[in-house]
Amino acid sequence: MRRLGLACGLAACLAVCFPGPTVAAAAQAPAPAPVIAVVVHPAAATGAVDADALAQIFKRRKIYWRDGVRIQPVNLPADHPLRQRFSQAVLRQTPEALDEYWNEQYFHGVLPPHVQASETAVLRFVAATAGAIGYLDLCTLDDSVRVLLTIDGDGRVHAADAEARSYCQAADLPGH
Amino acid sequence: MLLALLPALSSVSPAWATDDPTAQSAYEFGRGYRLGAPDTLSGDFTLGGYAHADYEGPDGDAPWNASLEALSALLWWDGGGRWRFFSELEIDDALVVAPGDTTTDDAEVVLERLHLDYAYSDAVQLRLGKFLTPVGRWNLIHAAPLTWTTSRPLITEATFPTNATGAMLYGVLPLTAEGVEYALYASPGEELFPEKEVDTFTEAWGARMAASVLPHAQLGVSVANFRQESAPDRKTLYGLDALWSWQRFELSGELAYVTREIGEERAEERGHYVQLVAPLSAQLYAVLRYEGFRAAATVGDLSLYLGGLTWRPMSGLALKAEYAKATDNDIGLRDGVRASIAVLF
Repeated sequence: MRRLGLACGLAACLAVCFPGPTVAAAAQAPAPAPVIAVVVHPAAATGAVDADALAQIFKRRKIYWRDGVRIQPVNLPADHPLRQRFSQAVLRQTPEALDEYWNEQYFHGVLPPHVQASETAVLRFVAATAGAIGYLDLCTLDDSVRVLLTIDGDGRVHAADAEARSYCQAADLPGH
Repeated sequence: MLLALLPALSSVSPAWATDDPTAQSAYEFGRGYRLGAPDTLSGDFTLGGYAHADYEGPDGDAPWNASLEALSALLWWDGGGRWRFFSELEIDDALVVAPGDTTTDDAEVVLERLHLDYAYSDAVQLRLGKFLTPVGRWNLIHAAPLTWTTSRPLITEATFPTNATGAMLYGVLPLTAEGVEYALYASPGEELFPEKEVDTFTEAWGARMAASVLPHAQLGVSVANFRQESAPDRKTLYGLDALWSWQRFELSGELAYVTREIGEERAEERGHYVQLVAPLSAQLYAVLRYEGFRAAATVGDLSLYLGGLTWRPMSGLALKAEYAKATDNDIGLRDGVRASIAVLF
């Protein structure tokens, strides 16, 4: 009995001092990347928009919605984690790598999408601007905008459905 | 002069690339000054431009020279609707320095572009005025801060007038994932504010299509039929251009074939270039280019070999140095060293 107790004490000590892979993995597992929601003004006549069309919008090659309203894409700052993920998933390049593209566009009188400083600012802007399109954490938005597409943690673009935001409720993530 | 601006420029980053809450300032380096309402999307007018100063080393009896080659102002209006206005006004050779001679006498003000655009849709847009001739890729992005070399490949300016005055129908057709760009244009001649010593169109029509055919690769096809001021012959140009870019490497090229008809006589002119850009470090690039060109009045094929370095310490700023050597040079092309500094502002 005493020998068993000693063994258990030693095991407990080893577990604390040298945690096994399961304990370590659980402690160090990164938080899942938030799902990105691509949002538009509720009244925007977007028609069908897929990942390719979204890229064309944010490169300012597609400039009109189906009803002729001018598309107003809005970005987060270049070093914002969501901007980095959005750029990689949709434009297949980092924001910095697109500099040369925007330099060429500038020569033709085309500027990059407008930048808003925060997700809150993007939400406010899209809700208030006909033709606007932006992106933010799915779990930070409200009913003032319409979700057009979602981008999962692996960078895959999906059409939004009615259940999209149930992800946030199911995960009991902040904001819900 | 431009070198003196470097310390100031290097401390300025594009506001759209930061999360500074004041990002919507009226001026952004390399993106111009937004007049009117800079904190709105439309911004009304934007004023910007670019400049480049060049150095040409001595070549035989020709001495070195340095010049403020171009100071170009871009002014455009975009009200967020269907109409847009764009203009580019340039001062060429504002200052030229050569051994024992510094002069501003060669300065010339040139209207490069002046057009009004109406967009019916993404696929159907109309342009009226003076615009860049849509032949090949280089001519459409020829601004010095955007290119890799100080000199320009021969076929991108010797085989056709670089500007046209007239009408152009253009847009992006949704035929592929990234769309197919097209342009159809016609010019009755009568160049708007023609540049001195430039052989402008007296009549022209043409078309261009460009698309991404493979990942990281673009292909363009151009055709133009025209007459110029200098000669009564009618020319037909067929052009092909390609660009492949991957991980900061870039391989590009253009091909042009021109037929000239003078009555019963027929002559040919043809040329091409292939250019490779390879990164040496985060900001430094090596550039190699080979050009071939055969003018209608010459016997041999000119070959031009170019090697150079381009340093891009920040977006919109380029310092370039290159050495070029031509063989079978019947058209007096200058050999030797060239260097330049170019900046978007």
